[in-house]
Amino acid sequence: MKGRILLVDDNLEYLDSTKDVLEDEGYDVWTAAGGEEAIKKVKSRSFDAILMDIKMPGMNGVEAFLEMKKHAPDVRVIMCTAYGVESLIRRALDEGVLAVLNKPFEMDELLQIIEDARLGDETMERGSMG
Amino acid sequence: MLNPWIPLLSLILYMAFLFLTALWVERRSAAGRSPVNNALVYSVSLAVYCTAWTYYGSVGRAATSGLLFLPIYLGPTVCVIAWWTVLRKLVRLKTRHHITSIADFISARYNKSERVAALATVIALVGTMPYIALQLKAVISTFGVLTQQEETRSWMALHVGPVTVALMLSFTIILGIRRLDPTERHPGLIMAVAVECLVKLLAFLAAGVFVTYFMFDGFADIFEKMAESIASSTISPWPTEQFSPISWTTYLIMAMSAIMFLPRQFHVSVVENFDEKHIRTAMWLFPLYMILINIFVLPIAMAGLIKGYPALEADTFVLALPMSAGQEWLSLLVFLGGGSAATGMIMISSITVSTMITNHLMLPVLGWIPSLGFLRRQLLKCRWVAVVGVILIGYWFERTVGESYMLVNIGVISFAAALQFAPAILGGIFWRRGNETGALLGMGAGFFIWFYTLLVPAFVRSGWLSDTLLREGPFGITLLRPEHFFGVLTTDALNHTVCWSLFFNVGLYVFGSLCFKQSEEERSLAEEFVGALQTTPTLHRSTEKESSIDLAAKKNVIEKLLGQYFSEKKAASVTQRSLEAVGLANKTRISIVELAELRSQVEKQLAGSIGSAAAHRAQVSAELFTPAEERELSEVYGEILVGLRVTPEELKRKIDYYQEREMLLTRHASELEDKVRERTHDLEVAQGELIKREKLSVLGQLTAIVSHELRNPLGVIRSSAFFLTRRLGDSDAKIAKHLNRIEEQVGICDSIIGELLEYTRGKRSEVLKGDINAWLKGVMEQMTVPRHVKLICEAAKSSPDVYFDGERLRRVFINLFDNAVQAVLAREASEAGRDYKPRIRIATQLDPFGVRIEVEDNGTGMDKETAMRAFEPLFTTRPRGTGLGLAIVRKVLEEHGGSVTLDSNLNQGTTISVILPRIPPQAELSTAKKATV
Repeated sequence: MKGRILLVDDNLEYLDSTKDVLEDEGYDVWTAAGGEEAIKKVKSRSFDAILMDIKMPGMNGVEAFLEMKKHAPDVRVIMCTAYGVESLIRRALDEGVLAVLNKPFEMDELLQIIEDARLGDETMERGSMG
Repeated sequence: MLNPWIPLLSLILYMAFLFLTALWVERRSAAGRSPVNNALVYSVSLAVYCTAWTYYGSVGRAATSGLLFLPIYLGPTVCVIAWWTVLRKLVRLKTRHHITSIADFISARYNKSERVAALATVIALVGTMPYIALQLKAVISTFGVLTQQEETRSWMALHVGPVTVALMLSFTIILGIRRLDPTERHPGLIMAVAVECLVKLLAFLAAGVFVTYFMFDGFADIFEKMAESIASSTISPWPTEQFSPISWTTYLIMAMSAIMFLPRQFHVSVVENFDEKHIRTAMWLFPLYMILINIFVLPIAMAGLIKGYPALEADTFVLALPMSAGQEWLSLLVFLGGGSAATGMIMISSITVSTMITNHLMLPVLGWIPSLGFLRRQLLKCRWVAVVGVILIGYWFERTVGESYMLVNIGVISFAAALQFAPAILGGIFWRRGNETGALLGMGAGFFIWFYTLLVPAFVRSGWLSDTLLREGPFGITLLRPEHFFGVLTTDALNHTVCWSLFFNVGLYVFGSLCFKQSEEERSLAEEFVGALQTTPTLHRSTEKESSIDLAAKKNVIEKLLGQYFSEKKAASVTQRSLEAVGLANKTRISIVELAELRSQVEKQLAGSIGSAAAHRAQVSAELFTPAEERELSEVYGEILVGLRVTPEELKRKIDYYQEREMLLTRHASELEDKVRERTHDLEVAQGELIKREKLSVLGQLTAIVSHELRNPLGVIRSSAFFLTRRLGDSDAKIAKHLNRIEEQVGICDSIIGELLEYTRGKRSEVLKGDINAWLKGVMEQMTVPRHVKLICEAAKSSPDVYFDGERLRRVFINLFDNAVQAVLAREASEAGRDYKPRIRIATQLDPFGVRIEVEDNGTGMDKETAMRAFEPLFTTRPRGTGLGLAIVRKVLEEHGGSVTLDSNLNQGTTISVILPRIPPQAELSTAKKATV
């Protein structure tokens, strides 16, 4: 077992596909379909990395991240989004997410970032893919 | 013994009724069927002459001075004879000059002088003040009579003055100047006034009938009882003042001028006149009204005296007699009649005076003070303020002087003021030489004398000024005592004022007019005013004299002339049309002038076909006129000029003047047209821009939504494809190929979406200021170029800082670079085997506007058409691609205030030049931060 990952996205197909990929890579993958559910899961156990969508119905990803930080200050979150929501992206980066990825991102890149995160390589800070 | 609220409410209801009437009239007038365009309404509205003074004051006058109340009404009656000449002339001139008031009229005659208008306005304003005071005094005191036995300290009793003033103000503004009338006429107001005039007549007659036939047994009874009372000495002998020819003459003169020259009389009789024919009806109807309203004056005065009321209270007899007989409702009617008389006068006077104030005092002053210019657009509100001012001044006068005078004595002060207009107006319409200087001197002097000898003593009597002025004169100069000017000793102040003011007014008017010259324009105005009733001389007058020319012969000449240009049939019909146009179709013999008209008509017809110059030449050569006829025609023209009192030089001067004017006007018009064309063009361009931007913004929003929504499923596809690749990728080459293809196509989709978003997105990112060289170097390092392509970078040694949006400009250079790489690779592929060295050069250099950056390749290049369309959105030569690449480049550079140009030759290469300006693209970006590249 390489580590425990939480995937948060309101798109269930996305959750499922990505879960399969990550499981094949040897991770213990948990999923949540929204911010509230994700926070509950974060409260009950710790994760090595969290991949969370920004735009979700109800609580958005950045809000959920801030809430998570209250319980687990060193939570490691990677954000992703299909939208050009610049203000939210900037906010997320300011608040300390590891990276913000623009959908559809290369899976290799994701795997790299997750691996870095799991190994605690905290110096990494990446912007959008450009 | 009425509750004070009853008369008040009745008055308000009555006014509401008048208001509805006025509204109705205005609506009908707007529909083109004005009920005011009627001789009866016009005649009755003239009776606004009979104010509260007539209504209450005549009885007062009769009780104290006997028949001396009569000249005030005899004057107008006599004056009526002159109306057909004088009034008609005034009305005709008013129509021609759109006169709005008496001041306007006088100034129109005297060189359109603003000074004359302002002086007349001041006279009207100050002269009207006592008259308005009189009306207020009458209403206030009769109100007291009507409610005398009520609790005297009730709120109403204490505040009757201010309440009355407030009511009058509201009535005036609501009825008269609710809005600005487009013409000088106020049909609604005039109808209201006419109704008021009827009401006051009926009310007064009702009171008279009641007193004469119900309290007494008819006229004879009253006269007998009066004689008895004098005989038994219960009352002092009837009029102490005996018949005085001087007083009668004075009053007659004043009343004759007042009926036309009181500002309000001028307003109703001249300004509001619809049709000069109405004057004819007024000439018998108005005197009849005068007689009716005066019939019962003597009986009521006598009845009051017989009943033992003091003569000094006689102003209220009309009301007090029915009241004493317990006739409360009749009294109320009488009160309403008096109210009608007062409001009618106050409304018309204050409206006409306020019009004068705004037009002749305020507007000229605004001309000197540009910062107050906004008031010109607030004319209506200014009139309101003026009305409030006029009525409040009247109220102030009532408070100051009212106590010490009877109604009649206040009224005559105003009459004497209106008299000051008479010389200027009458002189103006009957004497050609009267001029501006004369009018200014005459009116000014007359007004001064009036003010000094009549108004100043009034103020002294009221204790407002010291009485030493009356006894010893100013600075002790007894010769200048106001009431005994130049030592003249008379007992009647009024006679004194009228004589002196007329003497100076007329004297200085004549003196000024004789000593100073009229200007050219004033002379023609004088001519027009004096000759207003004559019809304008026309050419036709002389045509009546002799019709000696045979038309048939001339017709032949014309047809022959036209025959040179038209077919025979057409020539005949054109000739006929010309004859009809000048009204000669049925004649056999015509006069020389008619022939001239015919000639110009034919020439006009011909000019329509062959142009005016050719038509004139043809007409001359046709010899339509024999030499004798030509001579005759010039004689006739000469006569006409003499008739018009124009010398040939003057005519020529005038023609020159008008020609020059026309030229100026034409030039202005064409300049204006140019300007309009220019502006229209600007507008069209701006509109085009707007449409483009609007389209883009709608398109942009749509694209943004669609693109982002596509990216989610693309993400899922990528995940799933990745998963499959990991599981199956190695098992089968074909599976691997297809999985790769899925991955590749997702990438293409993503970049298409990226370009679309780039092209349609607004300016949102940050603009930086900095050194472009350093930044460009950073961008270049990130680009991947096939190793065998030679890359040359030439940076200018120094470059000015420019403003740019790094994020977007990066996109520009990625696009340009990508294009260059594609071009060289494509050429390399097509020239396989030949000696071709792919090369890309990037250079920055200084430019007058900022920095020029060139991206040059030796790739495939483009043909002319491709080069021309390269920047068009959606234009592409590649099988895959959005066709937005260069469109984005251009859009981004335009947003930077820069530009991009393309130079390309097929199979030789392409050079793209980008210029970034030194100045920030927009003012708002001037706060750009220093770049941190």
